[in-house]
Amino acid sequence: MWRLMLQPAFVALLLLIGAGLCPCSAGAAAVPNTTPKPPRVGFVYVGPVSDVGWSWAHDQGRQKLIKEMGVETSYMEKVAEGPDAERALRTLAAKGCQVIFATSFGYMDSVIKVAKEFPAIKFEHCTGYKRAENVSIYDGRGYECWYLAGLVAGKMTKKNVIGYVMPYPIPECTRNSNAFTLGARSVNPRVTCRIVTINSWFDPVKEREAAQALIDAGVDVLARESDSNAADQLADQRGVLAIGYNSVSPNSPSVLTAPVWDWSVYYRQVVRNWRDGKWQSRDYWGGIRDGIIDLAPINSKVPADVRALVAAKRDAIRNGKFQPFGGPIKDRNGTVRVNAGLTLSDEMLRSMDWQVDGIVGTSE
Amino acid sequence: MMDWPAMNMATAIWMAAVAYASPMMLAALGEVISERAGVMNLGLEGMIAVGALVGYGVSADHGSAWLGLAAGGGVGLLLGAVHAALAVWIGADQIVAGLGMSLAATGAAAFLGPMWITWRSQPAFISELSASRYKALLGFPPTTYLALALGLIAVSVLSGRRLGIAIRASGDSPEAAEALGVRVRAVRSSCVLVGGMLAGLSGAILSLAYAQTWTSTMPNGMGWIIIALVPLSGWRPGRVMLFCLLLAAVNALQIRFQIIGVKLSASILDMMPYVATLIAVIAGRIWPWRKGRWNEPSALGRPLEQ
Repeated sequence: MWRLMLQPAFVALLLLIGAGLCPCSAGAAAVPNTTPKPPRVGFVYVGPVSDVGWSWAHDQGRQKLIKEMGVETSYMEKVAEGPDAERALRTLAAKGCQVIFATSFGYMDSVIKVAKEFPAIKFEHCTGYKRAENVSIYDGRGYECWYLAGLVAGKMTKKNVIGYVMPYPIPECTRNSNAFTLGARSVNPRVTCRIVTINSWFDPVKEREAAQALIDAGVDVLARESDSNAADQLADQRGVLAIGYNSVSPNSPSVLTAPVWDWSVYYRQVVRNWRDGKWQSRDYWGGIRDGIIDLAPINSKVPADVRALVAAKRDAIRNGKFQPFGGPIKDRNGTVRVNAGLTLSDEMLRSMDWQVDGIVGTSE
Repeated sequence: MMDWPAMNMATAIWMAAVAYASPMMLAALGEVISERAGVMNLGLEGMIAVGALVGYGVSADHGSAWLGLAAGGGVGLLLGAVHAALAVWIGADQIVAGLGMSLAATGAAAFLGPMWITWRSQPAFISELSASRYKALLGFPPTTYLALALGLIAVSVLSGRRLGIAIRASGDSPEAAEALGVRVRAVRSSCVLVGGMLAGLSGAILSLAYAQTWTSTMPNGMGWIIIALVPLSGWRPGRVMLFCLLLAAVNALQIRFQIIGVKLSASILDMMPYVATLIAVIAGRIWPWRKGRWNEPSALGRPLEQ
């Protein structure tokens, strides 16, 4: 009896049955009577829209579509990567969505699969690398802002130990944490960066545990790429500094700055293209220059000269005069990955699976 | 490669382990008490989930974490009453009733939670349970001492003369106990009620004191791990608390190993309590001379027959 009950697989199965999907929808008011009509647009989010993080940032973009272009939208939040994602995509397709944005890396295979079943619907997958006739991919150069955040962290750390809560050991997160470390070491070569991987995008409990462990290990500027602000809160409590992500809570004394997205930049383009009959499968990777990502206003705790330094680097990146992954760059084993005078190609940035010199510890 | 970082690692791990073990211990004690009386409570995971939600939600609505703890315990008691009614009075299959409870309760918490609770940054009531507010408590939150105190009470009750014997007799040979004047159904129901209350309280501590927030994935399998730990501990309250602490320490270590560069698979670690329990269950059956020490309540899962 016990033996049957205690099978983890059995238990997991039962738990799975317990979980459910809950579709939500938000319609637009009157659509302006101009021809041609914008598409009906669906969004799939991995976290809750209230996370003040990644999913929230995408939802801000959705709300701008409603307000500015009168687009009708539907969305589903907290959709787990895996079979749930397929169900969510099909639900939105059945609701009549003509363009569907899938906003998390792990939806990739589900998008490709469902896109085959609905050739008339255009799919847009965020941060993935698989395209099809009716599947575009889009992403932002978050690493540009993580580099800038690294400048702040490198200047503000007193113990020369900075930390990073990493969601998954995938190229996106590896690239961002590398840029963060490179930025910090460019202004303070004695800095080391410690990383904890939590294998989740949104899990305030794990995020907090990881932050706790990093602060215990001596980290005094803590960055997190995960979606909730649990780590920022802990930084407030433990009296260390923090780098946020997606949003900065106005009351937090510890958060110095944060890379923040404006996805509406891209969403407007897609809706316009579809309306004008010009939608085609493409690969979009926008950066500071396009306005899709930027650094949040920097906390007044940060001295003016550091702020000026960050502003100058930001302009250099925006004008195309500076690339964070410019050589020489060594990886943590001492191998030179980028020679002096060269920069990494987009393809190499996208498949990044090595960590830069200065990262200590492991991320799988 | 092994560079031990600045802060005293042992202290940090100990603090983190105790913090996670506190809610775990409470739920585990509840399960031991109820199984000692002969009633398996497989609804544990769901009861913790509901306790976590109600504890946090009531605190958020009324601005008091202590009220939230009480509410968590209260809702656990209610769920315990449902399980007692089904498993003790109606004589329903304990496994089916418990699993049903678990599925319904985790599902209800995950469904109702997002409507009740909006993600909020650091609400004021959270600090009521924070360790820094109570200087005399050596850096541990008050809920840790609550768990320890309840643990001591459980040990003394179960090993005690009158009540302890009545509980153990109800779990070992309910018919004989009944013949000797023990009101088995009343004893069993009380134990299930206490178990439910402790599970609810455990959930409230999990959300209010440990995580300091509520998420729909809470308690993320903790209840099932506890159900595995109880037979492993030989249904002993002291030992089950020790196992909880050990597991919490492994959890704290796993994260910190990453920082110093040791690889340890989280999936393998998650598997360990179940594997250990399977081995212990098999060992308990194979070596009959161990039976005296392997004190599985012999009427566990069986209703009182008249």
